[in-house]
Amino acid sequence: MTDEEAGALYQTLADALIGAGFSWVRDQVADYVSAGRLEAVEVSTRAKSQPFIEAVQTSWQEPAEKRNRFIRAVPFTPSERLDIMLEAISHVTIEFPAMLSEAARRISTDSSLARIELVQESGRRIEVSNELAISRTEQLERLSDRIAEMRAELT
Amino acid sequence: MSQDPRADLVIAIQAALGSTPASLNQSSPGSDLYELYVLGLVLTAARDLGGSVAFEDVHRNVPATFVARTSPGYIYSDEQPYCHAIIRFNTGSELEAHLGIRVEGASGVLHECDVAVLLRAEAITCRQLRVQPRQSRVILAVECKFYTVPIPLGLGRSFVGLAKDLPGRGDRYFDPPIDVKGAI
Repeated sequence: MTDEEAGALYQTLADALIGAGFSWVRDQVADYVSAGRLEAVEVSTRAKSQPFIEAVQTSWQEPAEKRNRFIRAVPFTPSERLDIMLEAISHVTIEFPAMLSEAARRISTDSSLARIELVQESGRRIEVSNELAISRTEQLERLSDRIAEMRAELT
Repeated sequence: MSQDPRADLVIAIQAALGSTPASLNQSSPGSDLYELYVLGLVLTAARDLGGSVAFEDVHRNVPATFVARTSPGYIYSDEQPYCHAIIRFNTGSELEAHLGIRVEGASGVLHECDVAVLLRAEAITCRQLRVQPRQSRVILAVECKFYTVPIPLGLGRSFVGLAKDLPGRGDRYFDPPIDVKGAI
């Protein structure tokens, strides 16, 4: 995949997230990507002559060369950015429903609870049910495989 | 299916995103759901240790619907019939597991505990007197973050401060490990 193709696919997926109301995922990815990847580098620096040293020097000496370790930020490549985006999408499309299912199953086990609801103080209610997740299992497995294939292509 | 695997992938992702309930595609419900999931893990662990789990709401009624908080609140708040779990062991120990309650830290400030397990006697006292649970009576406090990318360094720093003020008696865990390379 060329850089241009990776960049275009990244943007398409970012737009898809926004369109589906997941702009917070797009924002998390964008923030992470914009910080870049940090890597350690060793660079040569020339030790600066100190006045005291110069005073005792009997003849001119070239300052010694030193190797020093620094950290620098490197922009992610388009393929790396796309890989980060695909991983984030994987979390939200595949793990989110699984989490939904597991939360409902684990809390209601051996209890008489008929349902679970997230309720805001304003009264807005969101029902937590594992039925949706179960019905989508096959679809999500296929999606998981496709994302894995695409990520493998990037490495 | 088209001949272009990338186009197919985009279509599949759009379909998956589109079939997610609209009520769950905002950031807050994502975090709330994760807290609920972690509460589920805590209750599973309690059952695995031989404990029994029951539920009640803030009015001490047995609920048909588990009403979970979506924002931090006081343990005695009755704005909604918020529920908690009661964990009982054969030894006679009784604990309560809550979502999103505020707890008094060692410094006297209030901290939100996304998931908290505390002594039931303390919880009952706090509901009756409308006061905050003390950190020394909290057995387990969990800070939950739902991120789709490695979490930022700032959250690690916050965790260090929180762990200092909610010292507890046991270990502290930070999982998943912070992505230091990307977060400095």
